[in-house]
Amino acid sequence: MTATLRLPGRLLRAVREDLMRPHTFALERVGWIFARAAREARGVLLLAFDYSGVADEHYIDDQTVGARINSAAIRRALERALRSGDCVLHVHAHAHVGPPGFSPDDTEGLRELMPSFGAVAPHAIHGAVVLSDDRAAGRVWLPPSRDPNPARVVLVSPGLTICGGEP
Amino acid sequence: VSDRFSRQSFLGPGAQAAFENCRVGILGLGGGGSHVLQQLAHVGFTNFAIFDPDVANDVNLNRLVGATEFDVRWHLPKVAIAARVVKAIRSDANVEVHQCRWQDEPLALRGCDVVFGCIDGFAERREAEACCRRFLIPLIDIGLDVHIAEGEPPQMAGQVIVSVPGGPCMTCLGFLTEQRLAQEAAQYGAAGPRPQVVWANGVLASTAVGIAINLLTGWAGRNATIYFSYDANDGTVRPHPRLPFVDLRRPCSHYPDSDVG
Repeated sequence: MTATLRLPGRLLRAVREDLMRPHTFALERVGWIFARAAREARGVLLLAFDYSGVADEHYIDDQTVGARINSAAIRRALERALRSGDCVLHVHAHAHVGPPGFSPDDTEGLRELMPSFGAVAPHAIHGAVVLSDDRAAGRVWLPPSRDPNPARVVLVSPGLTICGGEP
Repeated sequence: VSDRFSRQSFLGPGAQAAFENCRVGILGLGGGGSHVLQQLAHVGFTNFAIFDPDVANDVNLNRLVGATEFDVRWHLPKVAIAARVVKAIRSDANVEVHQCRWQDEPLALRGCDVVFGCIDGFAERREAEACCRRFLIPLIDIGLDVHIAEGEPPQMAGQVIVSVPGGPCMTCLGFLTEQRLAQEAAQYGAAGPRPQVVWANGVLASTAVGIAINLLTGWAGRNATIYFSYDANDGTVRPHPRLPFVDLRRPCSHYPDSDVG
């Protein structure tokens, strides 16, 4: 089963603007993209419609990683997933042009984080996105698997940028 | 295969990969859709979902790209003719054929990355746009009309509209209006056969394909026109005169960002 995340242009701009803001001590910012899932012929679509950045005070000062967030930040996203049943995607950005990738730290952090979302909203599909200046990469946790699957990410505007996966 | 696309290498080093990674939906494989599909196959697109319930008739042969007298004699579906055209150009293409209305295969349409609307009527256009907006799919719509008034030469005109989620929709652009929809509903079944010609369809299809190429490659610039007006009598394709009066940055009020899925 394939998974495709579609990110509309206005939302994508808002995400980038928020993630690019400097923080007092964190080297990068993170946030949450909210999406609705829909079936398509060969898999599932995640249709992004909202974004919430992590508040400044919810970062932990840890210079060994780009960003570390506290439990309050995670709880806020979990509560929304529980309340709405929306899909939640962790998002951060790497400042370069070309295909981005998940770092070993990203992979390890997400492996710890994602089961919590599956626990509170088991019927939704949760995942993570990393953005570069012009492209993106995605991973989703498709129930009941505990391992991530790569996701196609479609940046719907400006232009139409299709990242990863089989069409 | 690399030599095949050497004459369009100016589109950028990632262009061919972008085309092959893009799943294209085409609604209607008549005079417009058959032209669009053929061009996309030549350009290097390889993944299609095509929708049309009709079979080829003699009346289609004046404009249906790829159709033959044999197809008419054997009542071949338009989608089968279209798939044959693609396969002849690109044998490794994946053409998902739906001999039905696109509304009858909603899951197939949702999986498309971009959709070409080559359908008749305002109501069906609105339906297609609503579906594409819900599933965050850019829609490129083409249409042609011939107006015949006694004592005047026929006036042939058309349009190409790009409806991108979040941007102005066909209602924002003043193309879909309640008045047009009501008139169409009142004339339902009484319109008779619509005049259509291959060369005008070709102009609109070419314009639409050019828009898709630009969406995927940006070769012509990101601020490209989203509403073209075609005057076949003058032989011109221009940005629509209504465009300067549309605030392109204003969020579309007809399809709010939160109305997805």
